[in-house]
Amino acid sequence: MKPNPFDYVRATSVDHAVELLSSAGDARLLAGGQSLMPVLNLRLGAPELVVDISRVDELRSLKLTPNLRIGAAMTQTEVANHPDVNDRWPMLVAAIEQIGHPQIRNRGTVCGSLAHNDPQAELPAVAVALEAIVIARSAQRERSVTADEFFQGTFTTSLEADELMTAVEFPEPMPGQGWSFREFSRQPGDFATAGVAAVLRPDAGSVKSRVVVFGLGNGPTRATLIEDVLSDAAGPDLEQSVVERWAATLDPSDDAHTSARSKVQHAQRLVIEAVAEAWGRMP
Amino acid sequence: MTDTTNQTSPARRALAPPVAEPTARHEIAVEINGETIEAEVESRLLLTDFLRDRVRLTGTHIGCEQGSCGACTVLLDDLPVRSCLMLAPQVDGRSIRTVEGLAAPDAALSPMQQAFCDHHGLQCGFCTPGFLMTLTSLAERETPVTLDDLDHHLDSSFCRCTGYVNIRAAARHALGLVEPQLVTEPMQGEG
Repeated sequence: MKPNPFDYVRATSVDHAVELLSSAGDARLLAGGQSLMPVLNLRLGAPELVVDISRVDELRSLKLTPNLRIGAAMTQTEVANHPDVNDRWPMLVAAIEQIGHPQIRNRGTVCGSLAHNDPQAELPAVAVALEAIVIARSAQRERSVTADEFFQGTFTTSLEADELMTAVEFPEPMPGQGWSFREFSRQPGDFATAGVAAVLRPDAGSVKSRVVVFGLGNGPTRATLIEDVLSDAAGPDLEQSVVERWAATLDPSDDAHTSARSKVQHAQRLVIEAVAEAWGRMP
Repeated sequence: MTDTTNQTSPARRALAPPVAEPTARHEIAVEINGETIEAEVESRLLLTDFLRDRVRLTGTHIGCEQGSCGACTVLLDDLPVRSCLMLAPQVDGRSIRTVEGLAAPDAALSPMQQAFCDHHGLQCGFCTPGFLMTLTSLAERETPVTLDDLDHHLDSSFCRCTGYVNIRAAARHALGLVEPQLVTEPMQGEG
């Protein structure tokens, strides 16, 4: 199908973009367009105005401060191909490689994926696991939001209608950090049926961890029960009873391809594997 | 055949409104296969439709219009992208290459096109332009291409005739990749 009619304006600066955003009743931001364009083509959305931010110079930046700050117009390919990103944030690169296909990643942006918050998308889970910070601007103010607060459920974030997510900042990796990113999808390039992003690090005699599952209905969700058990665990092997107790808290629904029960089984297996792999990567 | 130009009855206005509501229009200049094309385009015109209907380059095919099938793949500034997921006004000032740009009408085929012929890498041909553009970008890449890279790129387009075997053979040949000795591995479900 073809999109409904709308106006298109290419923003020339962040100020211009946020001004446009508050000027129309229903304006949408277009960065890479790999989520928005299918929505428009299928007429699932019909905005009055599409504001193209993909060529705003201020948003086309990748800064190492030593945190990693990714501007809203940086594509997934550009981020994944950056040598420093690969060295220091390998989980981000591993997750990007699971997104769609090369053609999608050549246009799709890291920030766009976070702002869209598809419950089956990889990057929101990575942002929560790596404790990323989202920077949002409106005509009135700029604010920072932690990933924990940013993602609020299926396709929902704490971004206001007049706010533009200008960047995401990933903190410098902690010493001794081990990581794992695993997902199951029906074929390469598909959205994940279930996936896990896990980060573990030693912390004063115990293990601090973030184990984040996605694809099970509500976007990135921390497996706090698993994290608690890991804090004083002596090794990476999770007891089956713990994993089952955690799995009982999951509540995915059946879809056309996968039953809820099957999704839970995938999630259990992936969590066990991811924790073992992340543990093995701690020096 | 009736000549309708000299009829005396008053003109009748069509009842239906225009198919496309007027939306904002944009003057764009885009380099397509080395030639600069200037056009006025409406906001919602997809790059695919612009190429096919307005520039009359119909080699770029429309399949799913949601980025899955790969038939519409073109090169934007030498990188493969889905042209169904871009708006025509977005490509103002950029460079596009389509399947028509791979070889001049009276010249030899590009090496990738020739390999597709030699290895019977197409049957109905619907998916072929998308495959050719994706694989051409791979052939032009500076970093070395592995068989894994090739397979990841073959994933990204749907072919419903060939079963991919001949497409893969053609691409391997054009990219100079040698198949390692066949190793049997269990099926992997990881995506």
